[in-house]
Amino acid sequence: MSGKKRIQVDESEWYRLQREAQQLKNVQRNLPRLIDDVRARTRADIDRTFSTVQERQRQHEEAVRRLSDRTREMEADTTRRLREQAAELHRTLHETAGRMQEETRRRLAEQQAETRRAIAEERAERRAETARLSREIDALTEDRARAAETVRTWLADADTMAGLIGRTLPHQRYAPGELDRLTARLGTARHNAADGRFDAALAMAQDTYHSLGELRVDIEQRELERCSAQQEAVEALVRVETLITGNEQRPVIGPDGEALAGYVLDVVYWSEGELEELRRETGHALTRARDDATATEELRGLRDEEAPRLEQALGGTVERAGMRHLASQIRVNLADAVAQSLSEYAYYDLVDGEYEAADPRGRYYAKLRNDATGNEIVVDISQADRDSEQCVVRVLSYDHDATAEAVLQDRAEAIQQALAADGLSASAPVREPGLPDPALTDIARHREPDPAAQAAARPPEGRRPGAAAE
Amino acid sequence: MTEPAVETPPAPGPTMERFDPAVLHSGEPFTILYGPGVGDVFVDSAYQICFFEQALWRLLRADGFERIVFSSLQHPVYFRDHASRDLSRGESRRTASAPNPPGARTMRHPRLRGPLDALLVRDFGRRPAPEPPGNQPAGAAGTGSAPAAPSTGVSDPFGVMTLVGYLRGSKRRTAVVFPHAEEILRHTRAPRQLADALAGWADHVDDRNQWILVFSKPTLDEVAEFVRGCGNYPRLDTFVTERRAAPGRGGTLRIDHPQAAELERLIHAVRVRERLRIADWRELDPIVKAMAAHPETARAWRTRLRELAAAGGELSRDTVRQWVGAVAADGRTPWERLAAMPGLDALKEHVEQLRAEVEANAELRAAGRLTHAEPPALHLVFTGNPGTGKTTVARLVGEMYRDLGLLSRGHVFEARISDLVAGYVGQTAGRTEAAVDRALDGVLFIDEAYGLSDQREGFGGEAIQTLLKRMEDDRGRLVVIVAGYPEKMAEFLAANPGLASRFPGYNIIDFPDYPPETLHAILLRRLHELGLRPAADTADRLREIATEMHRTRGEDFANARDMRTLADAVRREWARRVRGNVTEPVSAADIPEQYRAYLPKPPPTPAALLAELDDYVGLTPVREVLTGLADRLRMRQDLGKDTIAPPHLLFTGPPGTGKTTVARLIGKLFRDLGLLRRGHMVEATRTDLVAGYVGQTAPLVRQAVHDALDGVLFIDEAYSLVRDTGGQGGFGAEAIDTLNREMEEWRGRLVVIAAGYPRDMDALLDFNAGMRSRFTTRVPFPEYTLEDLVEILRRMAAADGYTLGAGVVERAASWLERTRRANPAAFGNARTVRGLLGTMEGRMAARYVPGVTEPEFRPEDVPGPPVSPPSEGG
Repeated sequence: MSGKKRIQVDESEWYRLQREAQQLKNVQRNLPRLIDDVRARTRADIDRTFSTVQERQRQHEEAVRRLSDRTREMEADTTRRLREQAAELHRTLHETAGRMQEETRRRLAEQQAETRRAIAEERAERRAETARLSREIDALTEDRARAAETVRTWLADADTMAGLIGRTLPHQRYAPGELDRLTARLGTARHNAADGRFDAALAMAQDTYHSLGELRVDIEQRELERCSAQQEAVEALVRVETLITGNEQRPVIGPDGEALAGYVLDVVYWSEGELEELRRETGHALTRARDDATATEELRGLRDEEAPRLEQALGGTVERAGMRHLASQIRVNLADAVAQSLSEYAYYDLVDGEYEAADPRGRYYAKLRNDATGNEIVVDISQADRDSEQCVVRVLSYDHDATAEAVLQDRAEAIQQALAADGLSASAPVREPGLPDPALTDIARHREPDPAAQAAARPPEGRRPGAAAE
Repeated sequence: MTEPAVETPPAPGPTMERFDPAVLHSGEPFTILYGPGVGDVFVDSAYQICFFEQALWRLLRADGFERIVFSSLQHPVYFRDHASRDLSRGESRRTASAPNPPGARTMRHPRLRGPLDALLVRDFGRRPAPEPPGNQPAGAAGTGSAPAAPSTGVSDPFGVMTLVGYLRGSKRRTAVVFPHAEEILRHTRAPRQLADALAGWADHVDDRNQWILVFSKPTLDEVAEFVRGCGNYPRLDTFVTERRAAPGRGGTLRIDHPQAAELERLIHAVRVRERLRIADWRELDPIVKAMAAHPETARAWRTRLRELAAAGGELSRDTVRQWVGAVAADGRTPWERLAAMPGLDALKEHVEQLRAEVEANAELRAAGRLTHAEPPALHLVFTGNPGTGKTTVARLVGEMYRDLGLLSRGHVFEARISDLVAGYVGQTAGRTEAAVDRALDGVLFIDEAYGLSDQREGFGGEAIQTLLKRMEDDRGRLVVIVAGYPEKMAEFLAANPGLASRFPGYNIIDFPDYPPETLHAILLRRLHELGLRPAADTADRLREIATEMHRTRGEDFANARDMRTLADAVRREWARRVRGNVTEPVSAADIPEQYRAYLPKPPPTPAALLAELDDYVGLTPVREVLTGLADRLRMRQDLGKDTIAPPHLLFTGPPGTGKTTVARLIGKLFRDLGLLRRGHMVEATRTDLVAGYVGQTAPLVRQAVHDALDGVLFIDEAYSLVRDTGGQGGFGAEAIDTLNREMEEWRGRLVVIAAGYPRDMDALLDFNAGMRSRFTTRVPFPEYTLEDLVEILRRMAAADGYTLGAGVVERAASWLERTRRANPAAFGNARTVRGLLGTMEGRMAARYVPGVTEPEFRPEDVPGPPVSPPSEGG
């Protein structure tokens, strides 16, 4: 009679200690060049973005020069402030690339708010001044020609400003329809002027001009804000991407707490696709971040939520891969222990051992034989579930003679006692229904080439993952 | 546990006498080893000392066993040599057993590789593999520093499975050895599997492989008992029981104590290795022989020799004597010692004959002319009283037989009846076998052997049967000497024809009691041994006691043993007297009271002697006889002659003339004269001495005589013994015959007094001539005179506190006179006087008034003359 016996080995405490010792979740560990890498990869993005800003500001300066004397001074002021703001932002981002801190971020936000407030104050002053000038218009109403000229000048400046906005600024993103509305008001003003109602036309033209000017500032600042957010999102995601690459291989911490020379943890292999999936997700987010069309809010989401999520997921993935790696070794270690105890207590000698389909990520089979009788035992060691901290040892007996259930039970108990003597928390053996599969005694079968299975199972280098690099 | 064995013992070659390889070729499925030598150390012919397991291993290897597997409780499967292990455990096992550097965290099976190769990522307990017993002394296994293996017994079923697998494998000749079979059978966790395996192997047809079970029990019987007691192994039980019933069947081997050759090698091994010095090389041979005669393990001998060597001592006759007691006390050969012993001519002749036969056989054999030699009859019967040196001589015989090459060891195992016979059915044979086993190659000495045949019930017969069978089966290895009282031994030999044929008449050696001088010498030697120095006159007293004890000795006289008892008793008295003052010699005062009775006493003067009789009326002839005897004794003493045997007496006279009373007094008087030691009286009549059935009368008579020894046997109405014979035959005649024989036998220690009417007594003496020659002294008890009778009445009344008033004596005399005349034959003399007194007392009572009536008889108290003869009073 042959039989199946199942012994569960609880390794949770060992797992806990290993997790502490291996520090697999700490994905930044051993990555000293992380910031440099991230900076190198994000500076180009910054420069690209700010070259666009600079080009736009050059166009603005050019347009300002075409403005009437009356508005030019004011717009030149605004433009200077905006340029300074962009330059400061550019400088800060460039300098802090790869190591943007919250403090920097706050300082930038404060600066931006300051600039915004300064511009708004200045423009309010200008608008008040214009209103004062408008009252002068009343005096000028007699001078119709002068009035007409004034209105025309205002309208021309407004057109220039509207054209600048329409040409260079993503107004539709930040103030959809606003430019059209203002342009329509300019039409109305122009219509009033044609009708000779210069006072009305002037008031509307001035107001509309100021509105256009404020629209420009607003859009420009929002755009800077977006650039900033984009850079931060890109940086965060590039950092994740760099971490992923940097964690493709990790050292293996040996039992003495030191890295094991000659062994690395191949996270790509042992994560069983999880790392690649993470890399793909990160790439996707980065594409989104680099897309200028991506809204600021989304960029902030990428930076504040997605990137941390991905980094955390990376930690989990690396840890799982590492623990699987160790669990694989544990399975062989258990096979060794079981073989030892069966050798010592049951006079079975080890014949062969191999992972299922030679894939170290799967269950381990060890075959033992009692030479005196020819009876065989296959020990099948697997995790209770995927990533479980419980190992399951199945003792499959193949006896020539009739063997009593009591003997099979003794045999399983011998293994359990031996495991316990090895300091393992092993459950009492439980009988499993059915007869063991005779095919399982053929261990060599696992090493036979099975193209479909082997291709999937083998690591790309064609050598055992995590094995010593020659 | 299956780690490499400690060493490969050297190649076989040397041999050991105690392991007979023939046992491995019995064709039996099992070989049972047992005996006192199990667990011993062994010295092989190459002077190598090896332990039991090693020795067994060598035997098996020399016999061609390729694979030798051992099994114990601690190590259910282990090997003592690499070859056996390599044949048994697979190749993988061998490669796997490459030793890890200490502290390395690598797996134990290099064949197993994980992603981290052989690394142990988990800190397993790193329990060390338990060591097999290896070369530790067998029996001491586990006491060394070997790590304790988990003795949970989980291995047991696998062990059984594996051992059976090895046995059944036909490629390699395999022996499976249980060096401690009792422990495994008793405590295995897999009794079921083991029972099945034993039964299966018993049926397995294979005379190549062997299953060897080693029991530490000294006998096969105890092995059988143990296996039966386990209850779990019926097949093994059957096997052992069958072998026990048929010792010649093979499959069993008793491992004995070492014999001379091995002990000599042991001495040399210790001499060379531990620098033991030999005092005198010429003594070596007797030393070795003395050691071999002593049933002791080589291990014990080795310890003694080593201690001797360590202490810088020399091996000499003296050191060995300290170890084994009274062996080779002097330099004399056993022949010389026997020659120095007095008597024992038959034995001396017997051993001389044996010596001659042995020499002749040796010459014949050398000349090639001896093809078949019937061994001479070696078994002996020693007859004699206890303490006559039978055990000592048995030891001499053992030594001489050994010197003659008739026995290889020559030791003596002294068995008591209780060593041979059990109280319950079925156990006697086992006990006897065990005793024979212990005596093998030596002498089985059974003292008081008649105890075996004496038993009406009990199992003595079974013991005799077993003994006879072993005497036949173990011819050449067993000599039996039975000893006991001569008559009893004759009965013993007659009890079983087999016994008579094995103990031929010419091998019956008589051991006479020691003569008084020897007893005295033994006594003095014993006192000397006790540190006592008797004064010269005390020594003389002791000689007198010894002589007297010898003279009055009975069949239980224990010769030397009694002398030792006497010496010990003297020492007790002496110690109590002198306390610390031990320079004080032993004086006569130290002789205990009970022994002083043996000292001759000056016969009392006739006056003193007869004072006792003065209380009695008449008895003049008695006084004459006693006075004559006392005078004769005093004269003999004056002349320095030995005392005389007390005479048997014939008391003739009518009833009531004081015969019984006097007989009782005679005992005391004879004791005072020194003729009897106790002087008591046993009274017997026909009913006490004659039985109703054939064969029962003699024992009754003998019993009465034994009860009366050293005193008086008084047979009243002695003629009635022969009443039924009509002059011939009958049980009474048997009683008389027996009495005659006993009187002869116990002459000097018994006085028989036969009493009756003179005429009847003459008839008795006529009936048997022996009686007349023995009863030479006749003491007549005449009728009392009338004056005597009246005097008797007066004394009787006075004894009761009455006085005789005036006229009473005359009236009573008249009454007695007429009564006697009326019927002389029925007149009871003193007894009739006693009856008269009773009647008078009755009459006095009739007139009795308390406080008024005086205790004085009046004439009217005496009845008138009888009309008809009065019945006998009293």
